[in-house]
Amino acid sequence: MAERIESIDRFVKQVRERLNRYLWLDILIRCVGAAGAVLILLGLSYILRGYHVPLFWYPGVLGLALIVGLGLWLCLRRSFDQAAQHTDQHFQLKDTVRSYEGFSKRQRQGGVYDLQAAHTEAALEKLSVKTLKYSWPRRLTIVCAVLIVSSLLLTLKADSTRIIQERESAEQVLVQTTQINAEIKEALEQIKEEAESEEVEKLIAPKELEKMVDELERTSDLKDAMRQYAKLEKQLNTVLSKLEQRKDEQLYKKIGQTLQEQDDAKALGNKLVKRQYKEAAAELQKLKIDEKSSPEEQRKQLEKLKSVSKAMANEAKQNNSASKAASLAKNLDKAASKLGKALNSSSKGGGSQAPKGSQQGAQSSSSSGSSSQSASSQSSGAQGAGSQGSSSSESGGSEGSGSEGVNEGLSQMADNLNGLDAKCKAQSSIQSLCKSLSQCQGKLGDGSGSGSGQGQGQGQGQGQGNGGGDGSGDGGRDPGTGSSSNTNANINNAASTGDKSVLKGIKGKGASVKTTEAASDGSGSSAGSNSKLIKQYQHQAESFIRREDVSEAVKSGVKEYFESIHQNGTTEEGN
Amino acid sequence: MTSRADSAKKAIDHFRTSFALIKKEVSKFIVGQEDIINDVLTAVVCGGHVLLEGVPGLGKTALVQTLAKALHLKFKRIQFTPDLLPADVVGSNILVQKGDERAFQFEQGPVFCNILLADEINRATPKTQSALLETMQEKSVTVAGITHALDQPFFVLATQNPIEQDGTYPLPEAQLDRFFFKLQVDMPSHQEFSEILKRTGGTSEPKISAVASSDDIIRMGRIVRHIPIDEAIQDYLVHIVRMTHPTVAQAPDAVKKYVRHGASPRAAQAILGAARVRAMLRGRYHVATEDVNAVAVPAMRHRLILSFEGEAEGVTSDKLIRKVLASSAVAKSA
Repeated sequence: MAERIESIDRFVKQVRERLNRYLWLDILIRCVGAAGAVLILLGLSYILRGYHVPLFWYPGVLGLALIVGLGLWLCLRRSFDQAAQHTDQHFQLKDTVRSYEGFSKRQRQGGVYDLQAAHTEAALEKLSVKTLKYSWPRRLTIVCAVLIVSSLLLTLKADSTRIIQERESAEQVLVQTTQINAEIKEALEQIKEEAESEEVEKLIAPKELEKMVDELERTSDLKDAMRQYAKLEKQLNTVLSKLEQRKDEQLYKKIGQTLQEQDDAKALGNKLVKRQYKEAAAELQKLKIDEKSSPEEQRKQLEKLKSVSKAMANEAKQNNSASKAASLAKNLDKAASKLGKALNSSSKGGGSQAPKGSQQGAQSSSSSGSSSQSASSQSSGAQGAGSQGSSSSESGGSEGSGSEGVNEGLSQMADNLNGLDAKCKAQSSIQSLCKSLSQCQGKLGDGSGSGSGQGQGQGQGQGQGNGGGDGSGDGGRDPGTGSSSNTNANINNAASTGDKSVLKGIKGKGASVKTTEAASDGSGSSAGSNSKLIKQYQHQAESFIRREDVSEAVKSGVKEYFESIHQNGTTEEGN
Repeated sequence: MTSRADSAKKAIDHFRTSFALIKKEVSKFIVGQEDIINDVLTAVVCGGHVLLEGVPGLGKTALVQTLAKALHLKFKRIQFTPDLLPADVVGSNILVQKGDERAFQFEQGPVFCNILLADEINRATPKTQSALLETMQEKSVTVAGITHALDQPFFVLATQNPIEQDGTYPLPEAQLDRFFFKLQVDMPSHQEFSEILKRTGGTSEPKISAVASSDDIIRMGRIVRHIPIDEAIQDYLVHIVRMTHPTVAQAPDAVKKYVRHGASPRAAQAILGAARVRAMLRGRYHVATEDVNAVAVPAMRHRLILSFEGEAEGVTSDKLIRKVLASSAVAKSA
């Protein structure tokens, strides 16, 4: 390396430092300007949406601008050669410094090169780096300042009324969801506790429900909240459909109505009509034949039982029902008949084996003909082989074993009634949970302030007739209208008698008109399942419409579609 | 400062002094035309030939004659005419009686001088014009297989009239390329006109004395070659010469449109030499971009061969060169 002249290097270094400093200022001004522009855009984006411009953007964007500026500065920093070139240009040295740098780098020295170096040194001696001044970009600086000040002014704009309302509503939703979640958990715990039988517990699947309830989140987003509650509601509806025991209930009701006419079984009939199945089960238990009692008493008890079992079997036959209750009623009747025959035969000096045969017949839940035939053959055989001299204890024992079949049949029916009772209770609890869920959704809808004034009613046509209608028309301008279709409404239920009543919305200033439509009086099975399905879809669609940002045109289209379907459905039902 | 630097400084100072003296001496007779004198002297110092173009009466011949006197060089003039033969220029073998024998003896033509004024060079036929090719490049003459070296230094200062084109033969590209500079002699200003009349209208004419010798010119030529050029500036020089070629992708659109052939490497050599002289005369010891730009036009204007389109649209090579310089300056600053 050729010997370098220190004064030249120093001069060029000073120039370089100045240039880099000026470059930094240039970049800084531009970056601040750009940051100002970005902040204005950000501010406008907030203001146009009605929000107050958050101040955290300012340090953020300015910091980012500084980082970008620093990066740019590091990339664009002037090198020593560039500084030499700038020195030549600024001081009009006609490539003197640049040539010197070039010659030095290539180790050119001696002769003319020395003269050139000396000439460069002499030229720079007369010059001062201070003359290299920063030309302040005034216009750009003013523009930057204006941009920054304008962006700051945008922060003075407060949130719009709409946003304030939205925020309040979100807070409300958060509070409400918390509350609702707690309520739902509590209700579920209650349902779990009330699930008496294993069968009911299996149908309810409380763990699955519990999991869903645990997954419910506290949210300030109304749509989210509505969505998760709708999901839970759907699941509850599924459980409800599993718990449906309509056929049994109908049969028991008719049996009850028949029994009401009998003096002996009036109490049982009343209980059955009133759907007090547990009590009815207790009444049934009372009809059991006391094995230890005398044959005369047993006959009396049997007579009473037979009248009941006969009525039950008749109703089962009339209804042509394939339900479990019908089957049990028929079996009971058969067992009672056989026991009666056995008792009659024993009183006439019949064999001791006859009641056993009847017991076997009674025990046969399938009431197969072969079994009964075999029982009767055994019975007749016993009659043939029977001896008058059989002991009373034997006779009692044989009667006791015959009465066991009847008692067994009664127990089975009582169990069935108890199960039905448990299911009904569970159904009722879940329905109330569904109702409260609907109400919660209604509340949330109200809380959002965007109540459309549309009431929503849902009637579970499962004999409960529990029209859980909620008018979520709080704040709505029009009265909410809720509709509910109860299928199979011939069930004797106060709430599902097809009465048209006007239910007020929960918070409703606008009344929610709930129409409970009576289903066609059918043979006992629901004739409106299609309508129910459509109703479910309608309900889901309406929930969706309320929850999502769907355009008005789509909303009205969907509503019209379901209304037309509903009308068709009701017309068909009417026909 | 080292002794080498001292001697270099002395040589350069001598160059500057000599140049100034010659210029001053020529300026005694030639009024104005300072740039032309500078450029002619630059070409002479660099050992190049000059093509002077201008209407008659502007002092082209007078300039060359004055220069020859000031340099104390052997000066000859050939008036080129259509019937001029190559032998009339370079010389020929003639039969001479030497005692009892007759033998061929080479009779030197007018090219055997230091400064040859080829007046109205475009009036001679191409054959005669091409007789100068060897003399200008090799500085020698070959007649009948024998090469005769010319005196050193040797310069051809040719003139041509740009207006009167009837009966003229445009110089071939090869010959044009051998001219260091092509200088356009413009009309003098009003003051210069008056001065010309004052100097020449009287009873006595200014006396031109020799202020330099042929050795001085050769020495000055050697000094020129010592002036260094930074590689970046040399790259710039090469760049601008290349930009005159329409085949170069980065060439300006005007060049691509109007130029058939661009400047040759001889142009780059001429620019470098002239730029060095200019740098020295301006007190610098290195070539600057400014020097390159200043000498680019006279060094390249005759080397750019315009296309038919260029000729038809009246585009001048000077304009094209300035465009090249402008675009190169933008590229350089970027």
